[in-house]
Amino acid sequence: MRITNRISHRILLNDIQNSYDLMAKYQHQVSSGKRINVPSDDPVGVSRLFWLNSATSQITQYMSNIDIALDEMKGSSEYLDSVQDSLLRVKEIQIQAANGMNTQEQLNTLAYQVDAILKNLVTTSNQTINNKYLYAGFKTGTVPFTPTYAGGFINGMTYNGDVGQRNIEINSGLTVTVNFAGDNTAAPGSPGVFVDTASGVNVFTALINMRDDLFAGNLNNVTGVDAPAVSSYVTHLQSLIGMQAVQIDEMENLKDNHTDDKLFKTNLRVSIEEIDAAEAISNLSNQEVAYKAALQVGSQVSQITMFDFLK
Amino acid sequence: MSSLFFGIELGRRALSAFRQAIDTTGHNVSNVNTPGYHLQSPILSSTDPYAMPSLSQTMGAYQMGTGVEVSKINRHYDSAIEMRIRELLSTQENYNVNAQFLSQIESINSLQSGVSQTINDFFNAFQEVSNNPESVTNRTVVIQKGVALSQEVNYLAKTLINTRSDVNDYIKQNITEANDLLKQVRDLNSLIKVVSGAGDAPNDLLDQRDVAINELRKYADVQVSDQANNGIIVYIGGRAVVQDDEYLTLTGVPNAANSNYVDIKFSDDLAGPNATILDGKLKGLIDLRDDTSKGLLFYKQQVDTFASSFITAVNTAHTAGFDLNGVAGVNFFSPVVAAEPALNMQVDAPLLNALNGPSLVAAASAAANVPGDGSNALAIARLATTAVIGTFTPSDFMAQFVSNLGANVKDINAKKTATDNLMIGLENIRDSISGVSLDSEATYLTQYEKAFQAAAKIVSMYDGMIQDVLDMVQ
Repeated sequence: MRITNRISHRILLNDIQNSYDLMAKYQHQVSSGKRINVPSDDPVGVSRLFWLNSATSQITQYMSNIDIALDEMKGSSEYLDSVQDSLLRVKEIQIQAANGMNTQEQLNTLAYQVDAILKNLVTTSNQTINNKYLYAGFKTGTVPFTPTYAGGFINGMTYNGDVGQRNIEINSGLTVTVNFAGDNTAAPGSPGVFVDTASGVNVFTALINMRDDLFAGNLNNVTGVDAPAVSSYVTHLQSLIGMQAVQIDEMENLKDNHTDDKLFKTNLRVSIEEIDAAEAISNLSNQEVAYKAALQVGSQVSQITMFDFLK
Repeated sequence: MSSLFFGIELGRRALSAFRQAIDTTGHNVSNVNTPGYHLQSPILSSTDPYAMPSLSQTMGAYQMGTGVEVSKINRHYDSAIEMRIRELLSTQENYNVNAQFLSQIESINSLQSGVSQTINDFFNAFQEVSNNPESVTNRTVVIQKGVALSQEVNYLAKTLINTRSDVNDYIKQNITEANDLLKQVRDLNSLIKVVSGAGDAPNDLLDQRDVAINELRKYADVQVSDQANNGIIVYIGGRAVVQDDEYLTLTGVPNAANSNYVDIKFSDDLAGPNATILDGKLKGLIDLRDDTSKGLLFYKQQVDTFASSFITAVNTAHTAGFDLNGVAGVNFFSPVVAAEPALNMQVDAPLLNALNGPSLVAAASAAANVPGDGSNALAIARLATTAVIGTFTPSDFMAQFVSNLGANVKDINAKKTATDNLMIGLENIRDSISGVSLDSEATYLTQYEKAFQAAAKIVSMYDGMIQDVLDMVQ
């Protein structure tokens, strides 16, 4: 092909331009640290990044949700453990009362002790966490248990809460119920902590009756009716505590799984989005050399024509 | 029988011819960098020979050569390659203009991370409300996240609308430039016809007209047909726009059905059909602005689809719930504005009230369940993983939107690069045929110069011989 001056200039210009474009691209990669700066850099990669960001964000949220759930469940656990301890004390009182060798005064003392435990229990049933009443169902702003009095002593309990189950999502489509209602009379299907109509237990009436029977010296009732009532309740409480412990365990495990999953997805995101710094810098250096070579060659070759040699 | 003066005339003709040849060489050298310049070669040919009359024949027994002349100046023009270049110019500009505007769009920050982030944040905020529906803080946050998401969507829509408007302005500007070129072509065409009619070869005018036509090709796929006297007729979409000293301009006519953006019509038929333009900047810009499968309008419609589906889904879920006061939920977002859903997406006014707004977030599923029930908030949060927009979740929809745009830009850039490389190849071939090589011209210069010197010697020699003859008779 016959080469004319315009041709060689055009080729030179085009090569220099391409070289410079490539250099600019590598420069941008190194300075931004990213392999994908605009969607056209890698359209498929961009789509995967969207999904990974979304999935990672959800996992982080689930982990945070689990923490909130664990706060409440562990808190509740402690309170229920303390209730269990109190009821052990009640058992001792009942055994002592039943030995038949107490005076009425001694029985009264025991009755007062039972009353004290009852009052403690009322306080526990009205505990809060994060400004929410634990055992009120959905009525978290309302005191769940209000006692009624007669002659200065508690003789009944009114439940002001409901049987709402508060659910928290801990994994995609998976929720956990974090609360127990205090009193499940309205909907015996779900557990009630202090009053469970399905299991026929009511710790408040059990203690009220035992106290009153002690005051009345009615030891037959104390042993035959009140003690079994308390025992039944303790069994019920233990099953709830056990249920809660299992759930706490499962959530801790799930949290570990989420941590691993999140790490995996984060690494994947980094591998798609970010440059290998060494490789990118090396590309840039090579390209700078190539660019410089193109400039130098261009400036030398295009200077000579035959006109320089004509006399 | 010839005379001594015949010899001097021989010499004179040679000097004149070689001088013209050197002039042409000089013209080539001067125009080595002129765009559109085609190499001109002086064609030297012997002048008509003399037939010597002889006794018995009217036609010559021998013929006397009578010297040299420049019979014509040849313009090195290969119409096949020129036509290929001309056609490719339109395609090249079409891709250029698309790449330019689409690259602008894909660079906006919203697409990189903004939209994805705000969608995730919005749904996570509803999770927090679900965990603690009593918390005014959580409710305030979810409203804020709703505002942030709305603003991202607004910005996206606004950018697309503004860019469409910019493209429209650019179209109007390009129409004006194309019209200027049409006038230029008409002027040159008329001049060329006059000069050719007088028998001269208007090489430089032809170069200028070709440059103008090539420039015109960048705007639209004009067709050219030849007429007598080197004239041409220029057509756009089948209509003649330059013919016989007349030219027809294009006009941009606002179209009320398309936001008053302009349609391109011929100036003598403003109520008629649009000019059929199939390539070049004008086609590229019109497609960019109006094409509903891959232009700016398509992307805006996608954003609008996102907004209206998202708003409807969230509002449906929100109005199914109950707020902190036990009242049925109001709309979270203002109802969809049919004309411009994305541009007008916003959190509804009652929720924006700093004092009363947060309690309006409908977290509970029944009035009796207030305040502890967050199940409706959870239902809204779960929209993140629900097919809300056709078969896509909100995040997936935006992902395919961005990915689609990226693929489109990548594709255009690839085509542009391929076309640019092809153009370079074609231009090199054209310059191989029509370009000036300084080295060649220098060589010709030497050649003609030597010939000129030799011719001068001949004249000098004849002059000497004439002098000798004159000296014979004193």
